[in-house]
Amino acid sequence: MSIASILNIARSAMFAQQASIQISSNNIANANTEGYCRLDPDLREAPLVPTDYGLLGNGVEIAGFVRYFDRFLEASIASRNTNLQQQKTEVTYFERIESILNEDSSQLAANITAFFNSWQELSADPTNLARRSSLATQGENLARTIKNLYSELTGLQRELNLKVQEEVKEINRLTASIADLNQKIVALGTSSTTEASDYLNQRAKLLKELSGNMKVISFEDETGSLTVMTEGGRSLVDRNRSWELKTEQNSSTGFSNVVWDDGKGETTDLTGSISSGELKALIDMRDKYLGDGFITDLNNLARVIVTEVNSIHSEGYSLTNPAVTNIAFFSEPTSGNYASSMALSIEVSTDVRYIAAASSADDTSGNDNALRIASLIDKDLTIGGETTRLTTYVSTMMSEIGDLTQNAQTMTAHQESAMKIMEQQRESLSGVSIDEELTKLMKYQYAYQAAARLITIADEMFQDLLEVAR
Amino acid sequence: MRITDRFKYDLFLYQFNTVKSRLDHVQEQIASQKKVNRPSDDPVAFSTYVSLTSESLLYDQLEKNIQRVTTFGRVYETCFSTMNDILADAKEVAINHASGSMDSALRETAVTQIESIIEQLVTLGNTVVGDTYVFGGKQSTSAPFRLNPDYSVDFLVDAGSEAANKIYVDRGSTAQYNISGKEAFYDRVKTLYANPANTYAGEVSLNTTDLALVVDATNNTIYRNGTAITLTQGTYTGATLASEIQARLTEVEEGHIVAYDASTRKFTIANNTANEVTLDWSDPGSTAGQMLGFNAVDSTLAANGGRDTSDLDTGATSFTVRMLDKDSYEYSVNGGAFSGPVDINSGVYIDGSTQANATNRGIKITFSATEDLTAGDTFEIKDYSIFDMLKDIRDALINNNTTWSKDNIAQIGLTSDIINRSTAKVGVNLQTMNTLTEANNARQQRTSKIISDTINADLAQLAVEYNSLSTVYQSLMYSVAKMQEIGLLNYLR
Repeated sequence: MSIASILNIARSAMFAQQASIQISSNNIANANTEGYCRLDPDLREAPLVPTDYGLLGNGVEIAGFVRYFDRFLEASIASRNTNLQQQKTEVTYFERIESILNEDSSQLAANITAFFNSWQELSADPTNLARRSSLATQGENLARTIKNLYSELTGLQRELNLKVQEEVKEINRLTASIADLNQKIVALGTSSTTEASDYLNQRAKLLKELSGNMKVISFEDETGSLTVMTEGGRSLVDRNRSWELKTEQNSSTGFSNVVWDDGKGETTDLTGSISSGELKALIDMRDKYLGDGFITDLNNLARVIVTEVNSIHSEGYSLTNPAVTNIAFFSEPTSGNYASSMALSIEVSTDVRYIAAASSADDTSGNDNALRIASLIDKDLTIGGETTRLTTYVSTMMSEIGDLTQNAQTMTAHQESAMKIMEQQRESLSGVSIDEELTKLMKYQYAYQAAARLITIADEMFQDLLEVAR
Repeated sequence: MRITDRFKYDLFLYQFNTVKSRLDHVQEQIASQKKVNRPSDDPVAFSTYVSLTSESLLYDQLEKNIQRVTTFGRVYETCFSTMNDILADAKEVAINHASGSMDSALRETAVTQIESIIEQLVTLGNTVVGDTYVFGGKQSTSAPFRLNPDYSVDFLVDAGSEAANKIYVDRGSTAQYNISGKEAFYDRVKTLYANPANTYAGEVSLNTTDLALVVDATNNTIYRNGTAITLTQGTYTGATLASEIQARLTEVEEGHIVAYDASTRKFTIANNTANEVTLDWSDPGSTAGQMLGFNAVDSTLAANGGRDTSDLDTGATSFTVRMLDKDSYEYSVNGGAFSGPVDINSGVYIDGSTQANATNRGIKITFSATEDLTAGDTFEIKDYSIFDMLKDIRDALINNNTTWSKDNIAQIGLTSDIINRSTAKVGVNLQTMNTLTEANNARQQRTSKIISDTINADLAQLAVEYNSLSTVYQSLMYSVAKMQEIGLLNYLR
């Protein structure tokens, strides 16, 4: 036991308190860092030293750091994020589809009604060329409206396809990063260093992001390495290796399918088996809600308008001299796609006298055919397998997109609320409280000042001793 | 539970966003004055709004159509009233002449008066509303009547366009909006017109007004759903032929009604069966089609009430009789070649035949034996025309033929019938339009109210909500400011 040992104790104390202040500082610095888990120093009494009076304390040492982290809670958050991101993506795109189809902007039902009202106008004066021109203009308006809607919806579908490709790249980036972090964590061998803590935080954050992209299964092995698989059991990350997802063009739709690459050239199609996450939302939006949904609905609507109007129109007779029959009002598409190419027939767009308002060649100034076409607005027609009226069909489309958007908004609100609760729990454990850190800082500062005082005292003791010897 | 700073701020941010989002939503509702701005605001309400807005547009169109029928009706009322007045003048002239009290000077004045009446009638017949000739039938862009120098009047509307057009005045219900010149100035009654220049001043009469429809081996087949139906050969009136067609169709399937309208001389075939029926008028084997007035275009009759009406008048045949000498005449049908001599009163029918056939169509003409007919005397048998009647009066005045003026006095009575019939039709139409206008207005108001209740915002309620949310928003901001103050950091400064 010596005065020097007091200096040693003071030194170790100052070092420990300084290190603790540094940890608190780091906690404060990362108070707003997403995924950060606060650390506490693990201070322990330094090994005792034998003296003439028995074992005496030899100061303090930092045994390590305590990282506040609940792996089960983090897994739950990651899992919840899968649903949340899916719902958020759905809301984004449903709202965009809604803004395209919204009657207030699209005027689809209004244009359909205006078109058939124009047939009524023509029926009131079938030989009037001004009324015929007005009808042709309304026909063009309707065709343009449907074509524009179709163009916007298919544009959105193409955008979604690109998003799927970007999403796959993002997933590959995340899995590669997780594999890289696995390697570093395993190499460090312990999670008690700040460096390992940083890697673990980063990996947890990446896993949460990955779970937002698509539903995955993950678990940590005894070495600390995180294994990640698709819900179908295909490996995405195993230790330091990652497997890539790829996109392959579907020959029938022209859009990208998501496939898992086993690294040996074999691929497995995952498109239909992804059950949740942002990727699922993007695929569903592209294929189910647009491809087989609203785009098909719009095409069915266009098909029925074109075929029903043409069917009656071709039975009528034109106002030309001589009167001709078997003229289409709308051009017939060469493919089965009516909405994309809806337009007036060449005859009608060239000369409105080709509009067949009459039902007889002997009576080209008649209006029977115009009345028949005008009555289509009130007729039950088979559209996409449903027996309904044209405007009812449009209002059903509006109702459908409204329901889908509203449902996605409600689900998102619920998911966000649930996520908030879970994040609150996470923050409660892992988050940084400034007040708490400031308290600790005071605590460490006082301890540091006391240790420094010890050195002063030890110095005085040395001085006193030297005075005695002088 | 530990409450971290990040969580506090995140929570505030979340709450800020939630309140701000609601605030923006209310603000949008106030600005648009609609509580439903997009489908997701209320899918059912928005769907209802789209449907009702379309319906409303349809009602707007129906209102325009009703207005058109009403406007035309008012014009017709005025026209018919004027016609009645001026034809009363014509009758007075004819009576004066028939009484033999007119000297040549008076007759000259009377001729001028009748010519003026014809001119006025032609002007009325060519009345234009907007760009539409109201008596043009389906051919409404050109004048339907032309006055010739000899004061005969040509009806310029093609045979196929003589009928009036119909427009929708209610959902699924049409109404005739115009009255064709054919309907207003002519009648389906066969009338015998003598030429006032004839020297024959005796009695001449036409003793049938109902044209015979003769079914023989050349015109006895109707094709229904691709199957031939053979009519019994024989001579029919329109009504009896309708019964015959109905009987034959009923043999194939119960539920057909066939009617003949004597005022238009058209047949209507109704399908009251439970199945759609096609009448294959385009089939070359459907030989009865032309006789029944149907164009060679197939008609599909919807189940439970679908119907098809003749496209053309089945009785528009006219005859011209020209005396060859006092005992014989020759005739032509529809302006065709003359027949060759036929002895007067020797045969039962106009062609000398003893039975009705497809040529004579059951028309008989007889002359009294008290006065001799003279070669060159001509007679016409055709549908009654106000213009022809007036020209006859004019010519009778010029030729000072009081017999024909006397005959025409009776014909003016028929003119009044035609005008009264049309006036009554217009009256009924206008009454119907009044009722429909009220019904349509009521529907429009109801639709507007539902749209308003469904979509429109209650501004007072929104203002209260907006204030409430503003207070919440301000409270939140105040809380954040306070939260900043109570941090330990502030105490350590």
